[in-house]
Amino acid sequence: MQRPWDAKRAILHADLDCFFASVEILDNPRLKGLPVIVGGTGPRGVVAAASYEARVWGVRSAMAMAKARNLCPQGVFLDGTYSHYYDVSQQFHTVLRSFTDEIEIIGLDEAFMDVSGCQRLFGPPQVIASEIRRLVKEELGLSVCVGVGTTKQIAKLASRRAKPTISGGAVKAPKGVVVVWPGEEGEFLDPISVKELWGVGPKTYQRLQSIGVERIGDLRGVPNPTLAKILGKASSHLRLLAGGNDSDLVVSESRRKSVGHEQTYPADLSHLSQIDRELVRLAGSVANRMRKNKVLGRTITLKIRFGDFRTITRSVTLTSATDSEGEILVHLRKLFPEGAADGGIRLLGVALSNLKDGAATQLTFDDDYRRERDELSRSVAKIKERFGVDAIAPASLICGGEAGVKRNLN
Amino acid sequence: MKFHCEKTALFEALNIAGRAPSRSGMTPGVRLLLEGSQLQISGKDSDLLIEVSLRVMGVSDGTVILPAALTTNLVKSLPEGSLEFSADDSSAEVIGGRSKFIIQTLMDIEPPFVKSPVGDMVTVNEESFKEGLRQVIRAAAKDDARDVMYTGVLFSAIEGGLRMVATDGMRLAIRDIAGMNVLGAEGEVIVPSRALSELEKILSYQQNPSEHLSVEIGAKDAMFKIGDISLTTRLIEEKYRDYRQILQASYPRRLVVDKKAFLESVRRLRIMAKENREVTHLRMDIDDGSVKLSVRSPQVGQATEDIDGTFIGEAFTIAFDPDLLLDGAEGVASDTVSIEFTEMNKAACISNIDDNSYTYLLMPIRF
Repeated sequence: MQRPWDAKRAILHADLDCFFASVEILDNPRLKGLPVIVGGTGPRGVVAAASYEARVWGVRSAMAMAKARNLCPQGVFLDGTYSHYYDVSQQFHTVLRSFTDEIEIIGLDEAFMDVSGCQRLFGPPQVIASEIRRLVKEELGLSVCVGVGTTKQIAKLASRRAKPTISGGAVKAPKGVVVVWPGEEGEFLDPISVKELWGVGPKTYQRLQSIGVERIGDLRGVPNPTLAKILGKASSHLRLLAGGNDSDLVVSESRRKSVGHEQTYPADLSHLSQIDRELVRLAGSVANRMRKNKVLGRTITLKIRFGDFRTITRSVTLTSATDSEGEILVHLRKLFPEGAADGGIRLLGVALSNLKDGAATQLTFDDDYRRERDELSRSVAKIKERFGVDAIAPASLICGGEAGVKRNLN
Repeated sequence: MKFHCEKTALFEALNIAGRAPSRSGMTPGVRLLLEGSQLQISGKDSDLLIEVSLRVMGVSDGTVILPAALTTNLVKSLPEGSLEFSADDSSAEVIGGRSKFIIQTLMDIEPPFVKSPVGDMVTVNEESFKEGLRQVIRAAAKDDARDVMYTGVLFSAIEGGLRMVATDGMRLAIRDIAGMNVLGAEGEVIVPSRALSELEKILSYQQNPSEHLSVEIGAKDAMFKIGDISLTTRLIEEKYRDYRQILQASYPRRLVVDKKAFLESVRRLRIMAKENREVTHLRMDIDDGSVKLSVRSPQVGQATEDIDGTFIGEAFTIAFDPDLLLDGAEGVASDTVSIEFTEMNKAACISNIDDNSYTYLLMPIRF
């Protein structure tokens, strides 16, 4: 009999195994079993993904490509095609969405799902997790690992433990699904290093070590005031995470307050043309996500982080909500302060907030005109295609009674 | 200044004049000006002036400006009967029954509202003018429109009468009133809808509907007079874009429904639609046998209604904002409503069944 899920919340974390590298292997089966490394192959390139065979050699994500080549000279180094990964990722998200809309996309290869509400339809969460794993394998040919728990933090830690492992220079098959049952959170969390908790960076880790905290179990024994003294305000949330008691929600895009995209650049941007290209790209990717999630936004925010880490944000609120990249771009260009490029730009971010449901749109009379204009220009294009560019022109271009439009009788 | 008068008369005058100042910014004031037995109470903002005349028992002439809302509320709270009002430069004193209020005066710092000479005064039928306003004003945008044209009502001379037009880009209402000639042969002016909606409220307050409404339209402002009340508004000096190009001579689909039953259905469905924070559309599935109205509010619920109607044309589906749909259907003067359609993403046309005096074009919601 299926073991029932005896808790209010059931959260899944689904994470594709070395996504980019797996897609490359899928497209080119001859790479199977080889150390495949995807990333920027230029001088400043970093590793974006490495197959487990490459990880055996010590290659890791975000490592400098030069170092990866040193560690694994026999590796297969690929540039990767982002747009292709994006398409595959869309299929992955579609599989997840077939279970619930309560889904928070973290990246191309990673998402949280709140399946608390869909157990009657699809069974308890551990069953859903296995089903996701099966479907992704079947439909995409990729391997996904799923962590199941009562909180996002636990689900995330669980999925990490579902991954393939490397021991003795060999890759060990993954568990695929790791379930942390309600009431067993403590047992699961206690032996895990605090480094793995959200919000514990190198600094915090050092401070925790200084009071003898190494594992999550240790953290639980520390009295509140002591923890607050060394960590300040962050201490209470960390304690919740450590106890498996945090109430962090799965924030699905439709419930989100904003849709945004940020990009940190390996080298600071300083040329306006380069910056403009990035604005075009960011506007496009944000607009795309908005359309996919059927939301419209009224407030456009541009975030700029300069070479010296100084960060500014500029925003504008439109009279009517939009999901058009053209419109977003126009405003981004206006928002970009003059001379801002002088000091070099390290990060650009674009976000749309003030969201409303874009599934239904109130049309205006202007839409009607615009559509007619679009229809007109499409017809003009068709005529030109068929009869040549001189076949049709606006009347304003035909001057002095002499038609600039040639008649094409053949 | 000093005078005696009836509490109710003073309250009503203050209440009407106090509508003129816009509610944002400084404390809105009303001016009281006494000359003999004639008390004139006026309120204004930069575009609108409302003046009310009142006969009182004058004791000494003078003028004073008082905070509009406070003064109106205090006078309203006094017991019925006569009151005594006196004022000097710094404060006003109101005594009624056993109550006494002293109110600090406001400084006269705003520029005076200078009326430019206006045109001929024309007396119009108050009832049909009011009805026309009621039908079109709701289609105009509220204050923060992106297009100044949207904040006004177009008064346009048409053959044999007056045409009122208002739009906010999503709907457009047209009302033709035969025999009402307030403009020259080809005149066209845009009157701010805020002034007109104040006028409509004043007209609705009027106890005595036999009072004549007179209208005077000049080049820069328009004046409306009813009884002792006069309302002057600046005109919007813009060109009204040609709205005629969105009118269609005929439509391939036409639905005729009973007005009362239709309004009741839409109002019921709107309750469900409004439960969602965002605008939720009302969907109409129409074929020759039936008209089905429905609303789905995500995470809230759904509602459906079947209504009787006569439909000519190809079966189809269209959706509207229920509020905008209600506005249009409520304006219909006949007992049955005609709704004509082209297709699902094109404007629908709501009108009276038997004449062309009222037209309400409504853009649908694409879903």
